[in-house]
Amino acid sequence: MANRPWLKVEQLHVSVEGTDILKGVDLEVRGGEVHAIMGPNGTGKSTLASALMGHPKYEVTEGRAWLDGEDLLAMKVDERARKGLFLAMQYPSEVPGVSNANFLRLALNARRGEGNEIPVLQFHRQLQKQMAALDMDPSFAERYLNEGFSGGEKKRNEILQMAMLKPRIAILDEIDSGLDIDALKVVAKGVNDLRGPELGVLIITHYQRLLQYIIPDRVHVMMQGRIVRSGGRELAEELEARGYDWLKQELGIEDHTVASQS
Amino acid sequence: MTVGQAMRVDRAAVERWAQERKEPRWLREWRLASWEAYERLPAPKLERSDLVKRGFGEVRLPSSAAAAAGPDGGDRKGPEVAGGANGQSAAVFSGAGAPALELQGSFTNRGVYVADLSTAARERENVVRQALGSVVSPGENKWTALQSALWNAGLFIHVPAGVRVKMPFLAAYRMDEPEMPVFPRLLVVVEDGASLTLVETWSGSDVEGSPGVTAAGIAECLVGAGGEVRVATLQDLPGTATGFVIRRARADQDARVDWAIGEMGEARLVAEYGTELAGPGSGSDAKVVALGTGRAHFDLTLRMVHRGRFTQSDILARGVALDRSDLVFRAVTVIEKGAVGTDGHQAEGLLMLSPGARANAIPMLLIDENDVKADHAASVGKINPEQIYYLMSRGIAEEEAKRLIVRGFLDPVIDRIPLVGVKEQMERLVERKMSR
Repeated sequence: MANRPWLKVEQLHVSVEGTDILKGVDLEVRGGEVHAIMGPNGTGKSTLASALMGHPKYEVTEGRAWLDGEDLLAMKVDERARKGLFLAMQYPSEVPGVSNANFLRLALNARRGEGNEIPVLQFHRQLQKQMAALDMDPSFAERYLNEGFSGGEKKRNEILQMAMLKPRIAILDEIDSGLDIDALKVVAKGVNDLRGPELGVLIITHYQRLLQYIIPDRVHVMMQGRIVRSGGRELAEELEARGYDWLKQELGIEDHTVASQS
Repeated sequence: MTVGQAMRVDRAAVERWAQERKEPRWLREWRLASWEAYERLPAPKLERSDLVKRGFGEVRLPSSAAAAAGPDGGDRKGPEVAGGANGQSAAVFSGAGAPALELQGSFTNRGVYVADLSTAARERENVVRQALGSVVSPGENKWTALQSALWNAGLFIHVPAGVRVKMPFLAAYRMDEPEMPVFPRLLVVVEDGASLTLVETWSGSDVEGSPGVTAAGIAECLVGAGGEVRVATLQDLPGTATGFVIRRARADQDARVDWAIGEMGEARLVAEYGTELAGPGSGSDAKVVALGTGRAHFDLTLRMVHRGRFTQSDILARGVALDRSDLVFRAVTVIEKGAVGTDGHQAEGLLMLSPGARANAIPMLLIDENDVKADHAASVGKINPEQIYYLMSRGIAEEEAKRLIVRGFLDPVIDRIPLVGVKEQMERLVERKMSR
């Protein structure tokens, strides 16, 4: 595809079970860029990820979003995925009885579209290659989807899916949580290998640690359901060194969570 | 009387029916005694199944003309659900009457005997007379009595001692003629050290404007010491059908009976399956897959009765309720006094796929002996929306995501079915029901 991926979010307001969480988020991510959204817990970061993917519990009350110029919010969840949006989830579901490989092949074929299914042999070769790159035991292909996986294994499996599905825009929601340093490096390498003009990445994290391994182009800080500060990678370094309090003081924010303000 | 004309059942009708089939006197008397028991017994009560309200007294018998026409008179289609006899040994029933028998080598030599049950009652009087009603007694309840009086699609299989038949035998019941109730009666005697694999299918399709078929079946299976029997059943009847089934085996010393049961479709069905583990060291497993669609009502009882010492049983049942279907699973493990060293397990899981679907799991352990192992697990739940969201977030459409989850839920049972052909048929049926 010649055109670069493009995600645009404008004044997005989202509520969950009647509580307003996001209160006007603006964001633009293009192919080749890695954006990081940082911020303390409870500021709405994961809500942004889930709302963009279309989780039924998250209701967009205002604002718009486009994927490659198309109205993202008008699409069903599976349609968003087929158009190239990917969300590596913080808590991936377990689906007993469905093997990882079978699931991935179905997902990949759904993404490629009818009549363009991947030949079985080619699929398995690709899968083995990607699993090896992520340091995953080959047995994971035949294990049931996420069932009995450790936290780290689930995260790796998310990156494996991303590598196989080759999305245009990938959102990584707290992909670093619960990972030890070795696993973190493997996951980061997996993401870095995919970087390129064909992929835009949005990383959600509240630790700077991950950003030492996946160097972002843009860093956004979220508080009270809004992006309150954006900058280059040096912003992440500054937060690493000084924490969030100085920023809160500068902005006159006492409670950074979304709950305080409505 | 023309084919299909209704006729109220009474004692005279039972007598006439026996005569038309040229049944021996003892069998006629057995039917009549069963009829009397039917008239005497109170209507059975089953919690959670309104089926009992249906008047079984209104059962219609085929006229003599229809009986004379028999199965050869009509268009004999292969059973859809079983994919036809396809060169395997089979008894194919088109409605009531004698079956079309197709017997290959393993069922014609080494003393193996297969015949329509009425014929067998003449030709093999001793063994049939002794076995018939010995596992499921006519007087057990009103329905068993009625079935014993009126069975009209009978089959007898006898495997002599030491003869091990590897090829599966197919008993296929095609139930398309709504005016005729189909009452399959299956009697299987497997002697010491012998073995048999049996596949039984019930299928039918809706006939426009018809009141629907009534089916009542009893299968009895006697397994001698060290014998082995595997029974697979597949039921796929339409929404207009009403059915009542008991399939029960009795296992002697060290005998094995393994069940693979698939209940699909939209019918109202009350069914009981199980094994009496009479001899020491005998064992029985049951794998059950149920998938209810439309307004299906399946009331399934799995019953393992431990009578002998060191007997083993394992029930693994999974059911999926779609649309407005209603599934009831009762798993009963009975351990009688003296059955020391018994090992009985049961696990039932039910999944409701739509807001209108209902499901109930009723596990029961009835234990009258101390030195035993027994456990049960039961779960009833709805499909998890997070799982659907997760699969959809990878580009899989909602309906396909549901299918995947259902298949994943049933696969652990289907995977353990030892008969490859049955396993594949079940997979195909599940697939078809899920993609309507």
